[in-house]
Amino acid sequence: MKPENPLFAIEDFEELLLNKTYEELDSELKIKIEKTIGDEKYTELRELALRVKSQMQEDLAETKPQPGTKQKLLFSMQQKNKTARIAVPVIISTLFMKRIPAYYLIIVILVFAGVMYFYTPKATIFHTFTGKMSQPLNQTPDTRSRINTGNITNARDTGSKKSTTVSRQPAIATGIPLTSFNKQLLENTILFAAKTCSKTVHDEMSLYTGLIMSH
Amino acid sequence: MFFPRPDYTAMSDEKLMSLIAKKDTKAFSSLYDRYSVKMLFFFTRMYNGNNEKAQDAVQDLFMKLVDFPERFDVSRKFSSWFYSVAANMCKNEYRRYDNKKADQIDEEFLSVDSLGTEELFDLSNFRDDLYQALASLSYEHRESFILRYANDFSVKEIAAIVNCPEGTAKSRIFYTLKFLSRKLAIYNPKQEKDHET
Repeated sequence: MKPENPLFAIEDFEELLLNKTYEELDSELKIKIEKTIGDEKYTELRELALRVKSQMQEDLAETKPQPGTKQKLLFSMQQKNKTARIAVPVIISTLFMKRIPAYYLIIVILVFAGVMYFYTPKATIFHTFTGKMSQPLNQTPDTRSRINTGNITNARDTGSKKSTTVSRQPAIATGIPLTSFNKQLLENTILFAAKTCSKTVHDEMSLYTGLIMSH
Repeated sequence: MFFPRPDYTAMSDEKLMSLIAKKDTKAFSSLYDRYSVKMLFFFTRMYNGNNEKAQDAVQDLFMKLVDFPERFDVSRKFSSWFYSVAANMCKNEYRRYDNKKADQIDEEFLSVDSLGTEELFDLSNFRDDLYQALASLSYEHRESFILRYANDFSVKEIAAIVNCPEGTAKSRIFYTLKFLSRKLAIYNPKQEKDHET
């Protein structure tokens, strides 16, 4: 037979102390208690437990927290709520403030580009952004249209009906090998343009001439 | 008229906590009214009657509710959870502060025989003697006992609050009571009769 653990009875007995007198216990429990502490001790402990409980409940009723604590906590809570409400716009504005240098940079770039656009000769900008050579200025609209169609009549060779085909794309851009005739034609055109155009265009033309010749 | 005011006094603790999480100050006020006194008493007894320290602890405890209401474990009963937070605060305080001194007092008071009979007779106030005796107990015993007798928690709830098996909670309470019966024997009418004879 398994021996009964006296501690088990004692532990269970604690539950009963505050609720039942020794007389109110059932016979099985009475036997257990008699075995462990005895009925007198039970009554004694029960009286003490009730007295301790009543004393503690009395003291609990008399306990008063500091009057300002609640207000302090409520104020703190309200402050936190306000902070949360303020925090969102503050965070957004802070982020905006941090982005300001980037905006400044964009504005500066745009202003610089504008200044460059208005104060730099158009030809330069045209070349810079398109990479195409300007149309030779000595060509009439009619000639240009013919160039655009792919056929051009050699101006010198007026006697014959022979026509020469030139690329519609500038030689530099396309990389098509230039014939000696085309070279000559371009050179003449450039030289003519240089005489009639502004200094800037002249410089551009000289550059391209140099490039063509070295090709 | 169209939006009737919610009755906070009728709400459960758990419902109030959910409102506190939504920054409802009235819900917080209601919860404070319910628990501030109980908590102050608990802390006062756990800090051996140091009222100032207990007041600070109550403020810190409720501040935690304000700051981190989301930490409330919704699967648990609020009162058990709240007391377990308080118990942990006490435990941390004990670890941090005066640990050695508390142990010395425990040893001194736990042996009832070390108190002289004259000294026992000098003790006239049951209340003072009770708390003095409780103060001499170990932290764990005092904690379980106060929760049982002052806050009226069941053994099962105490076990959940202090995070120990039910049997341990029961035995702690029982041995504390037994210890008190020895310490406060002078207040036992039967004992007095024995002395007279």
